[in-house]
Amino acid sequence: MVETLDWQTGNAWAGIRRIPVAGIFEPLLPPGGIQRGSVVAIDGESGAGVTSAALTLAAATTATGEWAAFVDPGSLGGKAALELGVSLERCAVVRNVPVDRWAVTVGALLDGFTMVCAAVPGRIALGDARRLQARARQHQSIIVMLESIPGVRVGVWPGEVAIRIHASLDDAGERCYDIAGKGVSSLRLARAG
Amino acid sequence: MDIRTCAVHCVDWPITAALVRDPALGGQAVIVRERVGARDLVRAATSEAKAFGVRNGMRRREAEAACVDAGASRSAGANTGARQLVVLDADLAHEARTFEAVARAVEGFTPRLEIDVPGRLSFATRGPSRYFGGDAALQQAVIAAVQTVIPSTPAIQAGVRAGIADGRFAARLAARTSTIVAAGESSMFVGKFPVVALGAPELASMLERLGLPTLRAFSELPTAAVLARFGTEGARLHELAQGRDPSPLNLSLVPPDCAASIELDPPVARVDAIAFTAKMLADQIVERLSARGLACTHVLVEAETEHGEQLARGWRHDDGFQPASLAERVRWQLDGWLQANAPVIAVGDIRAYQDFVAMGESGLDSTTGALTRLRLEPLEVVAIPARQLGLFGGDPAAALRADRALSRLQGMLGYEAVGTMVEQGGRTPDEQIALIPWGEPRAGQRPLRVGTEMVGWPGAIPAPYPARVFCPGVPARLLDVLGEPVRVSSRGEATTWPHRLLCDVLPQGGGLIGRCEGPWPSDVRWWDGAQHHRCVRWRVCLGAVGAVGAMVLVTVQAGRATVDALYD
Repeated sequence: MVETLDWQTGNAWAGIRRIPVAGIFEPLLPPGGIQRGSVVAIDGESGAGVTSAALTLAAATTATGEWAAFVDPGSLGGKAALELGVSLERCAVVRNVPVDRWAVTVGALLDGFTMVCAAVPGRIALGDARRLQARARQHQSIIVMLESIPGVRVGVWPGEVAIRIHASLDDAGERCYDIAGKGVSSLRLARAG
Repeated sequence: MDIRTCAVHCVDWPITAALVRDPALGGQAVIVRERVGARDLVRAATSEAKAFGVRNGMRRREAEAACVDAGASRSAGANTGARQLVVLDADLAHEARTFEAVARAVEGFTPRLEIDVPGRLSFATRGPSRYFGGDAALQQAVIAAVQTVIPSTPAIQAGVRAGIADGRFAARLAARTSTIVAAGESSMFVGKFPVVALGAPELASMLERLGLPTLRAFSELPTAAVLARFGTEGARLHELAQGRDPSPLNLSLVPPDCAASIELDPPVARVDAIAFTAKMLADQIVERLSARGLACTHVLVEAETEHGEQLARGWRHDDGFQPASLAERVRWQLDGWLQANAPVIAVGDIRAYQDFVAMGESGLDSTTGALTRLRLEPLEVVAIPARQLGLFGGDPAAALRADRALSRLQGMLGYEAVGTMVEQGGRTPDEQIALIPWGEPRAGQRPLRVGTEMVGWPGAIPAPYPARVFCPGVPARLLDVLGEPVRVSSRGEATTWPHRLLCDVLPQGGGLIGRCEGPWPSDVRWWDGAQHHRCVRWRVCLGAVGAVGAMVLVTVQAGRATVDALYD
């Protein structure tokens, strides 16, 4: 549940333990939003809306005054981010990350950012995944794993996933998101993308 | 009266540093370029390049054109001019590392030297001048000492200048021509220079328009009037123009608890291992000083090695250090100390320096190992006139945490790899966003609006915008009903209507086109023969009629189709 807001400190969201997500994900996620310190995995075919889902979550994060970061293979669309409501000045983008530095980079970002969205490279060592997850829990940050690069199988993140979002396109070309996670049954929602 | 100061200036130091790294460049026309905002300027050039008419501060393209012209007229017909000019990127860290040898050579004369930027340093001459028998003798000795540690090319040797005058500013100007200004004549000497010498281009152009071309004319204005018209910064420059250094606060006013130090355990032998620590110390110092309304203009970087040697070097920044610029200086300095095969010499020990030269000649290596302690001490502080760090909005603590993480990643992945996006003018989703490296001002290259009017971009793709943008576009095949590739005519129109799209990034490699928006033709840079191109863009939904799949942006240009963006 959303904790009482601390209006006295001037930062309405200080100490909040969940990131509230408005919009199409709201009815699908646990009440109050995404638990900080957890892992969210988003999968789907390329073109199905995986990146948009991550941007929506990043928009929710920056809207609370927190910072989000993308470990980007070099193709994040800034206009789409603006359109989905991301505050670009609080959204860092890290490019040119070699595969062997990937885990270190995500780890360093978890120290300073409330949400870190990263496209998963082909394979992650289980040890790395555990370390990143522990770090996220320690810093109360959210890891968002994007699994849409061609050739990457679904569920490549070997660690525990609190929320898994599956993106797909329905027959009319509208985006659908199935969210199956702890305490939430698989739901389906069609909405224009 | 100002402290009598000797300034050493190595003209075109970036070139010297490049020659140290790559001696094969000797005798060629080389320029080192730097990016200033969106402009690509010449930072330094060799004498060979200058013979073609290249000047520092000119645009890179002009410099290349100058060399092509010169090359063409020299060897008529043989178009080798373009290849004669070697363009190098500025590498500040390397410049600083190489300059450490010069600093060491000068350190043999005095322990208290201050580096302004790689290529320029200064020190107080009172003691050394007396020891070496006067200013002229000191000047000659300093020049000779510096010349021994840099490449022996005549042009570079001639580029070593040393000037002595009252005060740092006058000494810097004197160093340009290796002049010795007699005591008390600094203001006379400074007055002859044009106002550009102040290093404030906006003020200089204003003064010139006001009919005040020289520093003397500027210095004769009443101080109160200058302060009223140009503010505290103007008053500072006015003082410089009178040949006086702006009086810093008394040294005793540096708060005693503002130094920051850290023990390094285990000892550090590589600069990348210590870069983050350096940033942390720099942050601490700047924060402590700014809490008192002070900014540091002269900082002493001290380190201690495993074998107990004490290293120290002063760095100066007249505008006051910011955390990033201070951390950069510290990193350069540590890099200079830690570079392979560099002996460590105790401060002011001229005999050790002579030993080092002797050892270098006999081929011995005397690296003494890793650092165990790092300390930063502000030596000179000024009151902050009206300087304020940028406000990002949101939780300031969160901004600090983010800054720390990103600075660390910049050290690891490179300066350009980490940044934030900013919206700018343009047609395609790729052009409409610029990635600004972290720490630089967030401003796009092309304006979004002029005044209150949005800038129009004919042929721009309207909303919605794609979430993934490929740059460069992924090669694709856009075919019409007959299976022929879609082309662009010389009038900028598509020849046929697209029917099928094949590309690797699409699920199942692409397929039939279900819905198609566009075309948006664009005729880019029609006034510029070399960069002119026409292209046509479509927004395409894949899938047979009734069943719609992925949506992409496709560009056809010069007969080739590319997928530029994916609505993901």
